[in-house]
Amino acid sequence: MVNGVTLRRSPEGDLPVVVQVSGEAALFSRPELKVERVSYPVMTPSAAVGVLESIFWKPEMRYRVVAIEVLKPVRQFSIRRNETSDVAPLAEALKGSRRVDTAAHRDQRNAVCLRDVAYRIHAHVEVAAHADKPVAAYRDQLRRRVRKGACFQQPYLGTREFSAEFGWPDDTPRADVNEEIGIMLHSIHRDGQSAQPRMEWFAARVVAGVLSVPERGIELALPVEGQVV
Amino acid sequence: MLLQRLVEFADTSTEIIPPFYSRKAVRWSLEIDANGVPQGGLVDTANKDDPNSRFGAPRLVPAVTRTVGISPALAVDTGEYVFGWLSEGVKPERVAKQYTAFRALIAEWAAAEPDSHGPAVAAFYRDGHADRVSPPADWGRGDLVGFWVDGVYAADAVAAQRFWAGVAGDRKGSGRSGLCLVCGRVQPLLHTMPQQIPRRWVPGATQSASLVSMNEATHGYELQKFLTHTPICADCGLKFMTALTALLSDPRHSTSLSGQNARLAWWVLGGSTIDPWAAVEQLDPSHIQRLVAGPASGAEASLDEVSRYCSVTVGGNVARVVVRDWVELPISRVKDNIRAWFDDHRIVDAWTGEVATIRVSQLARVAGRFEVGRNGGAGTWTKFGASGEHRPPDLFHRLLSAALLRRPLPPKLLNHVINRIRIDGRLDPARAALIRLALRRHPTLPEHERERLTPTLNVAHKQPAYVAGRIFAVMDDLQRTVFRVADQKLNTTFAERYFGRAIDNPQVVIVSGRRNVQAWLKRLRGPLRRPGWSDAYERRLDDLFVQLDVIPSAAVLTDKAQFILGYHQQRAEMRTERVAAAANKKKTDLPPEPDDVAPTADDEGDDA
Repeated sequence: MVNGVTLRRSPEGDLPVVVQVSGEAALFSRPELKVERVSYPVMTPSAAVGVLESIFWKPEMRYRVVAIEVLKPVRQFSIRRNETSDVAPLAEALKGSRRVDTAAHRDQRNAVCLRDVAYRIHAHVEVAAHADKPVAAYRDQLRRRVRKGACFQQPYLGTREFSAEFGWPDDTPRADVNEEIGIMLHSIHRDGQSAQPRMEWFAARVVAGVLSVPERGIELALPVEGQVV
Repeated sequence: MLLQRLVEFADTSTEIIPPFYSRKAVRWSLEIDANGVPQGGLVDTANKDDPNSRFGAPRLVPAVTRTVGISPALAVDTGEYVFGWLSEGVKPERVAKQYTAFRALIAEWAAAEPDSHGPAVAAFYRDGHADRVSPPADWGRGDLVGFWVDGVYAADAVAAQRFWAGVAGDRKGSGRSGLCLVCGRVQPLLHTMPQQIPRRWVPGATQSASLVSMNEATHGYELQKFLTHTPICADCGLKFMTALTALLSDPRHSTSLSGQNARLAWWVLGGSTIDPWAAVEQLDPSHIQRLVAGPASGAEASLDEVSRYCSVTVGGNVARVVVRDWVELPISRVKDNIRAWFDDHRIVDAWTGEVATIRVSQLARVAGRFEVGRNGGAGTWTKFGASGEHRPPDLFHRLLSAALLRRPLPPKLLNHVINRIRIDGRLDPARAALIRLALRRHPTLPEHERERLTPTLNVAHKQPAYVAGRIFAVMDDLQRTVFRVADQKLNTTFAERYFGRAIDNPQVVIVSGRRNVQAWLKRLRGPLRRPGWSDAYERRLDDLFVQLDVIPSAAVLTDKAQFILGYHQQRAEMRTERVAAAANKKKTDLPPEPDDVAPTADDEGDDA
């Protein structure tokens, strides 16, 4: 139990590592409203993994988020931006022969974002089969980097525009958030067997300011035999 | 959870809409018998006098979103599809394809459902009756034409609904099944949204709009268009689009103010019968009574906890619905918020002397420009959306959010309203209510000051600007009395002349007004022979001046608001005193109110 929250232990019996992040704004787009974007009210596990990987990542390890504590009440704001609907084909992009023409393909899109957010992320570090160090070594390396404030790239909260501050967890109390959020992305897997990535989802619920993330999600779109995928 | 809540609302709706159907005006009806023989000609169902059937009788008809492709609907469609009629500017070869596609669909229907009305309609075409129907003189390209077979509307029959669900499902489905993101069940998934919301319900949209739309590569995950990575089943897709259309088009569930850049729809799930809209906008006395008495009676407390208030604010962006705001709250919290809203904005009416609550739309209206009537006629508020209304564009929604969700008021609102009062020279109960509301919810005002801001005059409130406002009101009243007693016409009153300046700097106006006061008192005492009234005014002014250590000069924003509030409440207090005295309920030393200034029905207040 950490801060009054019962957390799933790792297979080795360890408690998760904790990183606290905050920012002036955040945008965790819901998959059904991702064009005229509407944010989930709290951070998603995939966004939390993005933050942790910005701080420390190696091919021998990956993060599995256990829980996210919500430290500030949910407040929203709305912005509209000019974006582009133009995409340069990969081959042309690699050659550098074509640039994205934003002015000719302007696409104005609205976003309902979150204002003034802070979260405590609890996550386990898992090591791959080819890892040459014990899991504790990677965990400690992450902790050292968090203490120093070191990162490979500045972490962000959902979208690159909203960069995040991160640091060692403190005893900030959780916000009184209790909400059914609906289906939320758990993780994305690319096992190479299909052109499409495999997505896992879970029914998200914040209870007393804690979003508990199950060990595994469910796959939403299950191809049925004989149907076009 | 927006989509889930919309689906829940659709499930609780009493009206059952078949899959891939929507309500549209069907202008022309053609009656045929079971053998496909027409029973008379086309019947025009449009009724110009009835707004609901101006373009034809509204009916549930098969409908899915059509873009550029040829895509006939079953048994009800436009003249181009049903009869191949040509109108000006259309391509004949395209219309021929539309007509062929419609007939082919009818033939499929007749073959698939031999016991339905399909064979009769197919016979109508096979026997060449369709070629003998000519377009009416006032036929329009968008008019829908529907078939009646032996007195039954062909598209209404269960067999037609069944067949159409299959056809439309194939057109809009993705061809795969999977777990739906909304309902969490394994269902056939959609490729695109089958229905759209008409443009008129989505401010800013330039065509019918869809709530979930990913029709560009950049919109989808990994540059995948359509609903590839957003699994939504046909059942849920139809339900939430139907529910949102129904909510946006229902005046009991959505806002209908013109000129605002968004439309707000709300609904209640879970069994509670409260109508928040009726409480804050229609000011239904029974609703307010129930609301206020609710905590004391304890009735429905558990129901309030499980019931949810949902509201969504939408705008449009070409063919996409933009969700500007989405809120879901327990009804108990909404009720608390509404009670706080009434507490914060209730204000005394200077004419009736009663404490009034103001509609949200009226509060938004009075934040705009007031145009004085010509030749002494009643003035008007500039309409919403009109040129030069000088009203924050989304004020109504911001105020509604403040009322129902206890959100902060727009930061500039107080300054804006004070400026409008200065420029228009008009202060009425609604504007005074806005001032009190903005003050009570001002982030920097100390709590003890907030509590002193009562709806009626608070003689214990000694804030200098507030007292200065009261002094200004007494001075203005004195001047009016002097001129009335002397039977002199007053072209411009003291308040009309100096109110704007006094808001900014009470000291300048009150110090110079004090000199005028002496002259007015002297006239009242001497030539006008009203020493009692003179003493009464002098006593009032002395009582007020003694509360001031120094008359405020450079007023900050909250001081300006306090001044206006003090002025309004003091005027209301004096009028209430006179009304009560006239009814012999209370003694007063104030002169009576003249009879000729009784307010008209449209005039809610008077000009400062």
